[in-house]
Amino acid sequence: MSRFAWLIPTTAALLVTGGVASTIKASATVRVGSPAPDFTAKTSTGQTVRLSDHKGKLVILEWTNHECPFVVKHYRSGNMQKLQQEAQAKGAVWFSVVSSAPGQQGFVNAEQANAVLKQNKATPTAVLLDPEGTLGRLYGARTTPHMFVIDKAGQLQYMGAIDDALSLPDRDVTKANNFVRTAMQQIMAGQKVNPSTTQPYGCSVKYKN
Amino acid sequence: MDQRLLRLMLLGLLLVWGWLGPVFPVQAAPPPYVQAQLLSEVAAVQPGTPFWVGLQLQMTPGWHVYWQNPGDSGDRVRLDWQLPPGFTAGALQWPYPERLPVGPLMNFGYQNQVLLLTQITPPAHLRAGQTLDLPAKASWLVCKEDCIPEATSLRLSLPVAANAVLNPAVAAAFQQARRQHPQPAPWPVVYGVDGENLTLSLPIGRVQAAVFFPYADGVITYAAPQTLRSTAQTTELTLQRGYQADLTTVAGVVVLTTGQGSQAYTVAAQPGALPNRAENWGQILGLGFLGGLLLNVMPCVLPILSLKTLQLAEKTRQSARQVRLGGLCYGAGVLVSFLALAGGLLLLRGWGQQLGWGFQLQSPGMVLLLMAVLFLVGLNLSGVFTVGMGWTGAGQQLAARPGYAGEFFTGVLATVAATPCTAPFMATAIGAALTLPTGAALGVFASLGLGFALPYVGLCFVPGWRRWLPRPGAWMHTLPQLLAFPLYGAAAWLLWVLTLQTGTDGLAVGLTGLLLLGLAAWIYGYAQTHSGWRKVSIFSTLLIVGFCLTLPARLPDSQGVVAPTPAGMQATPTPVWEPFSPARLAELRRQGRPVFVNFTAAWCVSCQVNERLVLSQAAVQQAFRQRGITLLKADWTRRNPEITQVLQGFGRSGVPLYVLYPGGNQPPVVWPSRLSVAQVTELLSSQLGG
Repeated sequence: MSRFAWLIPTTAALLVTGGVASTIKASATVRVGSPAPDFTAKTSTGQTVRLSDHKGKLVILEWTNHECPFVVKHYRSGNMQKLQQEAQAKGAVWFSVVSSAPGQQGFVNAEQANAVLKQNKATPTAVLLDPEGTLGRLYGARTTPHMFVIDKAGQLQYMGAIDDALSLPDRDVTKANNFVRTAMQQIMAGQKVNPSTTQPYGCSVKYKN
Repeated sequence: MDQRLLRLMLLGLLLVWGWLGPVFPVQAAPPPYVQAQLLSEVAAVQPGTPFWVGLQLQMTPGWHVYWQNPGDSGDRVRLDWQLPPGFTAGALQWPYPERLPVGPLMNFGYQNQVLLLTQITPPAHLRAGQTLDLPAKASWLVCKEDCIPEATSLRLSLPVAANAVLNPAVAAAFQQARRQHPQPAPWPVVYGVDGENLTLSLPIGRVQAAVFFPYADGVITYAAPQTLRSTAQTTELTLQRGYQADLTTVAGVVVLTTGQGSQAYTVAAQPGALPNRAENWGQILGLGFLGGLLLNVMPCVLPILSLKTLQLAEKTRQSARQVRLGGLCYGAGVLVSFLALAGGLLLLRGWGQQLGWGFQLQSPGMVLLLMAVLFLVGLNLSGVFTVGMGWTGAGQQLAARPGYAGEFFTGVLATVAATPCTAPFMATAIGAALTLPTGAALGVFASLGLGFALPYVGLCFVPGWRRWLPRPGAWMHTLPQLLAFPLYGAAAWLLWVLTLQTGTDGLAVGLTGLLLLGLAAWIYGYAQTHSGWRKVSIFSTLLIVGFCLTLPARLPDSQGVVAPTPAGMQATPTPVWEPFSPARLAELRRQGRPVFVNFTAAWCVSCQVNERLVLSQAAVQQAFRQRGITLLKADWTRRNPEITQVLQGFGRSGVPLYVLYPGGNQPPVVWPSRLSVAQVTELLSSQLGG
């Protein structure tokens, strides 16, 4: 009888273990403090870039959609262009990423992308064309703008909103507290980035459905 | 210039403004995708008395506005009051939102229509007849695939009257909004992290659908599916983690759909052990084992086990093999009883009965039966009658029945007697066990039985242990007579429980039963020593016992007795315990007041000890009063599904349980099951300050 009693917990243990083993496997999530996932992407000038080729430099990823009012706000005020120049003065690489799918708001082919750059007088290192949304999903880009700052060692140091102006229509973006500028300065000074994550705001990225 | 052209140009200008963002506060030109207006629940404002107003937004079909956390993109609705001096406005109350997928992303918001309530407190110096003007600026982002920021200025114009008058025209809309407001969850919620999965464990069963809306960004990946697993007792909602690396409290709103409809709760989940996970199972098994060991020294069990041990000292003349087999039979009796009790409990709960550990004692019939058994064992020890060895073989006691069947039934008896003495360890282990799948739950009960049986079985198997037992002697006849009294005590206590359950009519039935059983035992014992009386004794004993068996049916219906706080429970005059109900608890918590809930039962010994020696002490009562704590007593003496459900919420399946709700929106704190005065005052100062 007492020998039999041990069978009950043993059987139960097997049942429970089986149940737990069948849990869902989730995809990896990009996190600050972890290596930024490597990628290759086509630029609007027909070149191919790879993130790992830029080790040793600060890399900034900017998700953009030139038709999104939030993006428009940052370009019309010259805020984004100024930030791009500051970043490049620090030797940083700036990639503007377009993840809008064909037929969706903000979709551009190479030619259109270059025309938008010219019109905005924007100077990113390159515009990355991501009509399939592969790069956007890899980084979990949700809004335009959505910003990512990667340090020289390839670690993600900041992800989130460009600033604290939220979407309040009457806030002046040039006077807002710019989180990307702060992150770049703190990384250059060898400090811990703070804040390192914020909730991004803007239009949703117009991914392929 | 042509008048018409000028008008057209002006109109065009207005339209452009509407599209590009800030709309100037012109009421005549409302934003195109959302119609906004302010509603007041009162038609007239009473000076100094808070009243509710609502911002009603009506969206163009297909368009939506956002909840306080908009999800992957978007922005919450904002309402900024420009109130006259002396007025204050509370925070917006958000009805729970819906999940709105946008491609592979997810937003949280409202379609069609929403009413966001705010409480406004007017100053006391207003004059009746005066008209109030309350302006506010509302802004929101309205989206379909593209988003338009809109803003407008609104105002409420309300008369002041000596008494507030409700506006019947808006009552339904306010009621509808309130139904969708989350309530503070009355039970604690824990979460566990497993790789990229974050699982919320909710102590509520039979949930058909569940959705979690976090307050903070990055806690979960919004668009990922939320996987529901709900049993009769618990619900697990598995979410995909977001970008936040270090989680502390996972706070948000969970919407649960059950057979009774949907209800939203605010939760602040703490990291914790998920109850039905294999990794915790070993721990629960261990706790069960310890609890079982501890049961051996409980007052209801100790007399029976002492006797067993005595016989063991006597059994030196038996062979080692016989002793061992006897021990195993006793162990089997214990295990079988524990598994039978657990199996019965699980089966009943599977059928939807709200039962917990100790349920046996919630039925007056069972209390009566247990009392009768303990009383008879007591009479047996007192020497009134003997069992076994035929009608002439005196000198043997019930628990001393020879043979292995006797050993087995001693195990059964010990288990039955042990059920009221739920030791502190056992409460946790059993509560956790009952949330497990059936097989695993039975495993925990088996472990408990093993712990309970181990000391005696060990004595049988290891002769070395027996050296500690005293030598046989004359005291072996005196001690059983003495040990009868704890059993009479236990029977008396059960009689008290019965009285609390069924009132004085039940007491009369109980006393009649004791009297008749005493008589039957005496007749039976008399015939054992007087051989001529055998037939008469069999006949009359059977007659009396047969009559006694009809007694449970004569007990008054326990449901019919209205005694929420029976007289016996008020014996100590100082405590001011209000009867517990989930509604009362929710109400007190809404008011932000601290509440202490005492989950207790008359048949629970440790509860009674804590109540009498700690909770009703003047120092403790004063400490409660000083901090303005409302004391609620959840009396589980009789069956009460509402209390059972709350107990389950804390992973418990039995009493005692002591919970302090510190007030505000802070999560409840579970206190230890064993209390002392010093400990209580210390807990109060550390958890509430002062």
